[in-house]
Amino acid sequence: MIVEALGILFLPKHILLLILAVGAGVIVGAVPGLTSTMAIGLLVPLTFAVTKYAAFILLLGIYSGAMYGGAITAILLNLPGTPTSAVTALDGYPMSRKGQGGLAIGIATLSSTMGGLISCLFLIFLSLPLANVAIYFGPPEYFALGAFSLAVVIALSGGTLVKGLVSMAFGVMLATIGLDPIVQFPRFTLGFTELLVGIPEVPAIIGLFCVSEAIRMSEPMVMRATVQSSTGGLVATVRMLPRLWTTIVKSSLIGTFVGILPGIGALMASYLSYAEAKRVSKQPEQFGKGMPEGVSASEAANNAVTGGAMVPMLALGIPGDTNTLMIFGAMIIHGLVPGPSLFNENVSLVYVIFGAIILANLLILPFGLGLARYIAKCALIDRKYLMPTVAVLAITGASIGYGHVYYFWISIIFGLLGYLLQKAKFPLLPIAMSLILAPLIERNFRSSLMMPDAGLMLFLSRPVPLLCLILSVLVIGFGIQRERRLAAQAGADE
Amino acid sequence: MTTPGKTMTREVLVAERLACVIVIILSAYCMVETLGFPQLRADPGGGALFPRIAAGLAILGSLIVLFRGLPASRHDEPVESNTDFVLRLRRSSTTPTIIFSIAYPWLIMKAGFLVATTIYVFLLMRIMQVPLRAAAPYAIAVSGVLYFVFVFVLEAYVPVGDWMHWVVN
Repeated sequence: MIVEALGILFLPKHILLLILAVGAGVIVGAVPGLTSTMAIGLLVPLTFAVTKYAAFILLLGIYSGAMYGGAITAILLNLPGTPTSAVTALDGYPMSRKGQGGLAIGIATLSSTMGGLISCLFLIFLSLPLANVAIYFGPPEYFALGAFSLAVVIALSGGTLVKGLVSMAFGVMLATIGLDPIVQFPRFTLGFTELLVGIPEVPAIIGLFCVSEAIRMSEPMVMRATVQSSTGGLVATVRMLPRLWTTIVKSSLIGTFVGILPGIGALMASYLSYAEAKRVSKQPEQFGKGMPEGVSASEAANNAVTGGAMVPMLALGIPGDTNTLMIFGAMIIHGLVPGPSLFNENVSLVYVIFGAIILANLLILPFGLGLARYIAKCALIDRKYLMPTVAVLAITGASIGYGHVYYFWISIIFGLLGYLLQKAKFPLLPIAMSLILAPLIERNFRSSLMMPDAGLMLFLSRPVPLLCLILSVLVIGFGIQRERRLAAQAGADE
Repeated sequence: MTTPGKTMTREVLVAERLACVIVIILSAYCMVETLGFPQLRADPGGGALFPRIAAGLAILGSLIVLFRGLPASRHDEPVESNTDFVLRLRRSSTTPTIIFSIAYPWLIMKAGFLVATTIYVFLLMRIMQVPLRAAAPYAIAVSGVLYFVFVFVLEAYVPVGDWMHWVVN
């Protein structure tokens, strides 16, 4: 199987596709306003025309490249291309201003690559045994895992706990539109036959994240003054490796762990790693003034999230963040079911995915070290041209394959919903996660109760559901405590 | 993040209230609708259980958000995050973008994908204050490239439009 996967991965057309995808991902990541989620979302329709292998090589190349791309503009221009690279800018830009732009780019590139590779090891060695264990999971286990994922997303995805709860509940409600999965009774269809199939996940999620972003791009934005420095500092970076390796390894572990937990995301991983690097440093006062460890911690952590987030998606069918949500949608389009069955029925694809992530992370090196100064110029693309292109691609791209105008409406309605909710500071991730997870949770909850002599005690008498439910309560409790602390802090500040 | 005690901008407050009202109305509708769902003895949860729980939580949460926002609107004078000028400018470009985006699928059904996309991209570029001589060729190029990719690369069905059918027949 591994040999077969390597044969598929190293086909010249697949290697070329991966190089193009990583390059495009790095550029997308560098452009402020375009995120990895948008890039993956907008490319999903292109995967209709290619094989499943080419589709995931393309999407994973974009994913890995975009996670790194934001660092280039964050360091050279103080314009974080993605939200996660804002932490990189804290020390990267001061290094640039000191004339160490090349060194900072080198550190970011090497840390990103190593972070990505370390997380890949975890992906390979965790997802395979996890999928083997998950084969024995029944409906109560899947219900509890889904409920735990939603609890984590509510508590940790940003916004207040109540707003997270409203987003989650609203998403669950939207996910119940269509035929009841058990008795085939139409729910909330308002007489529209199109609604019988329910809310299609891919156009809805792309609408929620990409169309809403296009609308936001129509708002005027103040661009900061730009300063560009020279690049090229591979030798100096390699010399710094003995000093940085502990930071890189520790940050990669933090990034991988954060990636495995659903809904937290790369920004949190970057912040946590940065805080940890600062805590253990002998010169904490130098952080924010151009400390190489700051750049290294942030970049290793945010690229390590890529491998971590793929673990629950591949092994359990539970996406970890917005990017893996999009990849999950692409899998559904290709008729694949993420989870343990993927490891039985499409094991060669699983190995191709592992290989593609490893190669994509290695390809970041030449792009980052050789082309950074040219990629930085992409940040200066005028939003006047970007916004209409993103809008039309987001509305039509995901929906055109379905061949019905109803899907265009879905993208637009969810885009407007996403825009309004973002304005009101409601997190969007719980809605997107609910659209994917609510059908799974509902089906498994009801199937559990239909088992002989089953009752609610069933969920407390089996170890995995019991553990998941206890962890859910703990996570929500942590969320409440965090919110109280923030409220008290805000009160004290005022 | 909006925490109690933290001053909110007027924009956030208005968006928050609008979002909560929409969620409450839709949840109340779902709650009422579930009363007519069938209930089987073999399926103790039933098709109504999940929508009811979700609607209940959504209503409860929205009410909490609404009531939390009340002191901010009553006591603290909401602080504008930007100047009035920027807000006015923001509205002036975002509102037409939303209106044209809503009209876009309708236009696809009537005028077909190619024409509708050209018009839509052109209008968005004009909203973004791109000069006419740049907006027109860019809109034609974008819609042409998309049409080519969708029809010839992805082999997808692209709506021709009612008006084209009417012209042909």
